Amino acid sequence: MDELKKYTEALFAHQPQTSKVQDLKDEIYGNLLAKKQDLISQGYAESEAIVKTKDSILSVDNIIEGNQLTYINRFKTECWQTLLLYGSVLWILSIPTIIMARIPFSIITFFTVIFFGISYLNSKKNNQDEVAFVNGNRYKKMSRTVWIIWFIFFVVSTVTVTAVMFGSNIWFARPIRITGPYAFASVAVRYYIPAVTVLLPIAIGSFPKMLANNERKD
Amino acid sequence: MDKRNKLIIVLLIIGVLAFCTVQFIIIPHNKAKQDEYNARQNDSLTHDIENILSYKSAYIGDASNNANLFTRLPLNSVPRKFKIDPDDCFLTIYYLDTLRNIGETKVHRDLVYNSVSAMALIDNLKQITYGFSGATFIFTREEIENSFDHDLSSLLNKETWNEKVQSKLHDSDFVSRFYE
Repeated sequence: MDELKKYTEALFAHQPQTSKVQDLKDEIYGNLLAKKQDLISQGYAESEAIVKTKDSILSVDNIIEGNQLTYINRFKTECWQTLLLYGSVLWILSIPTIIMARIPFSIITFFTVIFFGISYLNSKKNNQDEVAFVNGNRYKKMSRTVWIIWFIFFVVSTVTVTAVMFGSNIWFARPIRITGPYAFASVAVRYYIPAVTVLLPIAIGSFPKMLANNERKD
Repeated sequence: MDKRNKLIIVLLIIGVLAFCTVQFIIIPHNKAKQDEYNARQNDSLTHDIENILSYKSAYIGDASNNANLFTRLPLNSVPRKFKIDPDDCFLTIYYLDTLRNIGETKVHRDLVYNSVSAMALIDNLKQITYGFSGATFIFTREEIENSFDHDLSSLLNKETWNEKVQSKLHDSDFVSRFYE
């Protein structure tokens, strides 16, 4: 691999390996080769031409589609704060389930709040004026993926609960008996828990908007 | 940011208050009610018939149904073993304790109650034998039907059950007739 090829690979090392990025990489490499040839034809030695060619492009961050210059730590802090906010709501919503002996769900949400809280406080300590390129498309994709995962989880758990609670009527010929408010609540809580976890994809879904809010405009 | 931080603090305070309310007020209150209810289920005079209606079965052969039914009937705190004779439709329950330990009066009353309950719920159950250390009691369907009703399953609602089964068990002479 020639030196300019290696340099091009290094420039794109932290970029997502999409076909568009690959096309851009090929284009940049072609441009670098042309520039080197041009410099050689102007009388530069090859090694000197390579150094000058490399100096002409120091980063590709600003030409990657979706990349934006962002106050990176402000953005991260805001993400953790949002997760803490929605996590706290989820914890509150989980507390009534303790009455129905669904203690693990409440414990998990409680420790999730602690984790989000610690991460938020740590993130606040970082230099909030630091800037870096962040790819907005990546966060949009992440948001879509989280929604898809949650939707699958919700459908699977709802179908499973329905099959176990009401299907036993078919399997064992013993109908489910909802004899009062407690019996109703013990059935409803099995649907309630997967439903309230919708707060997590909602929180993560707000990341792309927060990224846009934290763009360095100048 | 500051507004959101204030909101988070408010939410955390709400969470702590809700947790304390559930953990230290609602759960102990529910537990006390449940303990009281469970204690009533271990006494034939206060047992709730609706608690066992889901164990209605046409056949004696369903071992898990039998075991679950007797878990919700009086004497449920006494360890026991079951033997089913599906050919003759007989059920035998060995209680692993003595009459003296449990209390003779209670055992006599509860065995009558358990027999009516089981025969009202399990259609083809003809006879139940209860074994204790040093004592055995046998209840036949005929004997139970003669004392309560020839259509035992018609007794299976709360009012009728209280009137025609539980109220009779207050009478110790009525109970003792089964042990003559």
